[in-house]
Amino acid sequence: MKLVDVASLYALVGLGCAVAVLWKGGLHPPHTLDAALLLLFWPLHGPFILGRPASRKASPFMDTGARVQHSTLASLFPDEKSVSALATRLEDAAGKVLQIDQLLQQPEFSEERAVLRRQELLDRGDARSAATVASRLQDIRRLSTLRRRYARELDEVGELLAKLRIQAELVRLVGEPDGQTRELMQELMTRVDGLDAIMDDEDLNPAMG
Amino acid sequence: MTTITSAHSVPDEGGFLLIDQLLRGRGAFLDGIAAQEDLRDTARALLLTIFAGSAVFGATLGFYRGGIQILFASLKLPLVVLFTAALCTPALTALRVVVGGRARFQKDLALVLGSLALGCMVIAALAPLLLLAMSMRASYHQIIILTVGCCAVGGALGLALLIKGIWCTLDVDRGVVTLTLLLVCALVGTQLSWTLRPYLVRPRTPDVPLVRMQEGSFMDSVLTAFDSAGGNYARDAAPLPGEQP
Repeated sequence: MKLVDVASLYALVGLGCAVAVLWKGGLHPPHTLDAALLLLFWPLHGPFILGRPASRKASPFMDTGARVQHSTLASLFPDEKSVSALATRLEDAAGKVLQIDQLLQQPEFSEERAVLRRQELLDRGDARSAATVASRLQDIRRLSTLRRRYARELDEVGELLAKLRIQAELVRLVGEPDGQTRELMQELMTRVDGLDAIMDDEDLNPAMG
Repeated sequence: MTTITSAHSVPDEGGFLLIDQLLRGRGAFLDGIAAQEDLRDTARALLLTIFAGSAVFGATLGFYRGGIQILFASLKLPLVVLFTAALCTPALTALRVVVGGRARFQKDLALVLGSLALGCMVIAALAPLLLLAMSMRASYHQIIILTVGCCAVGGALGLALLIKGIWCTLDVDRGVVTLTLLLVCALVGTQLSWTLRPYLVRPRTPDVPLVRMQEGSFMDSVLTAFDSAGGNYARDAAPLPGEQP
C-alpha cells in the first residue's frame, strides 16, 4: 500500500466522521469545529466526540435533568455542566455517608465500647487515659452527627427531586410552570448547595482523612 | 437556563484557562483530567494548541529556506506531533491494562495531548531564538543543533508532565509503563519525523520537496551516517542547486 492510498483511506474515514458529527449536531459552531478537527485528526478527536463520556452511573439528579430537558421547566433547570457538578456533589455526599458507615462499624469507632472503656478507666482511677477516651468519644459522636446530617439532607434532596419529576409531568400536561415550581427548583438548588457546608465541617475532622 | 453561581459551579472554561493551567498549574490540569467526564472541550483546546504551537515552530524552520518551505514545514510538524500521539496513546492504555490498571483511553489521550501541547507551546516560545540565529547567518548545522536544543527543552517539559500524569494514576509498575511508553514514542516519533522530512532543507538541495524520497528508515540513516563518518560515502557530494542529484 502506497502513501497516497493510506492518505486517501485516512481522509475518507475523517470525512465520514465529520459528516456524522454535522449530521447529528447541525452546522453550529462547536460542531463545525469538531467536524474540521475530525476531518484532519480523527484518531485523536474521534474518541472524545464519537465515544461515550467516561462512564458514570445514572444519578437521580441527572435523571431528573434529562426528564425536564425538553419540557418548559428546562429554562428553570441549571445548564448541563452545572447539573453534572451538582450530581457529583450529591454522589460525593452519598459516598461520605457510606464511608462514615464503614468507619462506625469498626470496633474502635463504637460509641458504646468507648463509653464503657471510659467508665472502666475512671473506675480504675486512670483519669488521663479516660480523658483520651473521652476525646475519642467526642470524635465518634461528631462522625455520627455528620452522618445523620448527610443522610437527612440527601433524603430531603431525594424527596424534592421526586416532587420535581412529578411537577415536570404536570407542567407537560397543564402548561407553563407556576410560582410553586420555581420555588421548588430554588429550594432544590439551595439544598444541594447546602451540602458544601456539611462537607466543610467534615473536612475539619481528622478522622475522615 | 439557570446557571448556578456558587463556588462549586462549573465555569465556562475557555481554551485560555487550559493553556494557563498547562503553563502555571500543571497539577490543576491533571486534576481536571481526572475529575472531568466530558473531555470534549479540553480535547478541542489541546488539539488547537498543539497545531498552532508546532505550526509556528515549523514555519520558523521553514524560514531558513524560505518560500513554499515555510508552508510545508508549518503543516508537516503538527502532523508529526499529532500522529505520534495518535499512534502512542493506545500503547499507554494497553500498558496500563497489562499492569492491572483500568482502561481509560479518553483520559490517557487527554494526558498525552496535554503533554504535547505544553511542549509545543514551549518550542513556539523558543522560535524567536531560531529566527535570531538565522538573521545572524548561522550555518545549517548550527541551526540544526539549535533546533534540537529547542525541541529538547520543549520535549523535557512535556515529558515531565506526561510522567507525572502516569505516576499519579498508576500504583504499580509505573517505571515499566513509563519506560516502555517512552521507547514506543521515541521509535514512532523519530520514524514519523524522518518520513515527513525535510523541515530545514539543506542549502545544497536543488528543489524543495514536500517529503523526501523514501530512503529506508531512520535507523538506516543512522547507520549510513556512521559509514560516512568512517569515510565511506555513498556518493561523491550532495548536489548543488541546479544540479541533478
